[in-house]
Amino acid sequence: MCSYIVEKAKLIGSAKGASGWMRIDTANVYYDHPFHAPLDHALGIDFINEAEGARERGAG
Amino acid sequence: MYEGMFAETVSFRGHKGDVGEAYYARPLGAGPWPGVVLIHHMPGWDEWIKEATRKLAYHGFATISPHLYFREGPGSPDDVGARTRAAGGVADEQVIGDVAGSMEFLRAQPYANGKIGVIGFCSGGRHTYLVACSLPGIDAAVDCWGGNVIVDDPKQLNAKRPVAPIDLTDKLRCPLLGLFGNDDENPNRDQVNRTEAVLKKLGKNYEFHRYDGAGHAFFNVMRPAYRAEQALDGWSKVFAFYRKHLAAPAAARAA
Repeated sequence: MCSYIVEKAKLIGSAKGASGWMRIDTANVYYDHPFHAPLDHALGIDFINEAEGARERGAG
Repeated sequence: MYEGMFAETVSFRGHKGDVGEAYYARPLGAGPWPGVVLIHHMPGWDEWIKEATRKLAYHGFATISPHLYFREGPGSPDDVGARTRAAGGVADEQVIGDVAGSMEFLRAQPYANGKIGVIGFCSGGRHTYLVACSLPGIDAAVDCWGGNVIVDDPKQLNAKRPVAPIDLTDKLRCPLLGLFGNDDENPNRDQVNRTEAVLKKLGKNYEFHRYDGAGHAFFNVMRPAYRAEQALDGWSKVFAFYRKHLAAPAAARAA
């Protein structure tokens, strides 16, 4: 809660972000205050491509 | 009586001269108005933070909320917040510099009365405690449920947050208002009590208020944590505190 704690998991796959489909290599997983869900805490999973700079994410 | 405000996104010069974005809301009219720096919570520079900024302007305070995560932009505040979280957050030194830059923005306005307050929520509460112990020129500080002021596990300290703010308390230079929910787990009741004990021991000017039936973020109308009765009372305490400490012109500073 109110932390910057993020567990990172390496993986292979694809996800759809704001710009469309992208290759992903990492999942950032955290349990903290969500941005959108009407909950105090939620499990957040962001799929990113860390090798390509992680500018975009498939957010969940 | 005509009530009006002006609210928009502005640029500000922060730590190391980096230019970032901030949300700025001020009352319309000649003023002069006291200034407030509002430090956003951990999720980021979001809609509720901007709503809180406007609320302070409605009550007579020219309020700037710097986007502490702007260096991870561009992008929507939630995407930028996610990148910042993944990077381990922002460094205390950088936040102090960004708040100092925001204070300079307020001082530069022609309708400023010379007094400056700081208010922060969640991690912003911790940042408020930190800047109140680090920066000159703050006339009143409000810490809303800031966790990790006390750090019980030294392994939590790192390069970005090397010092627990509680260890800087001897340098606190302004009155401090603290608002906490008794059901909060970070900070929990024991940590709030221990923070108060340190303030008392060092003879600091402070007032703490603890609310039953409320936990973390109880002012936030966009979360289930919102508690109307406690939030209304809490806000009234913020405005009374600021009217007491930010009202008079800073004649000494002007000299």
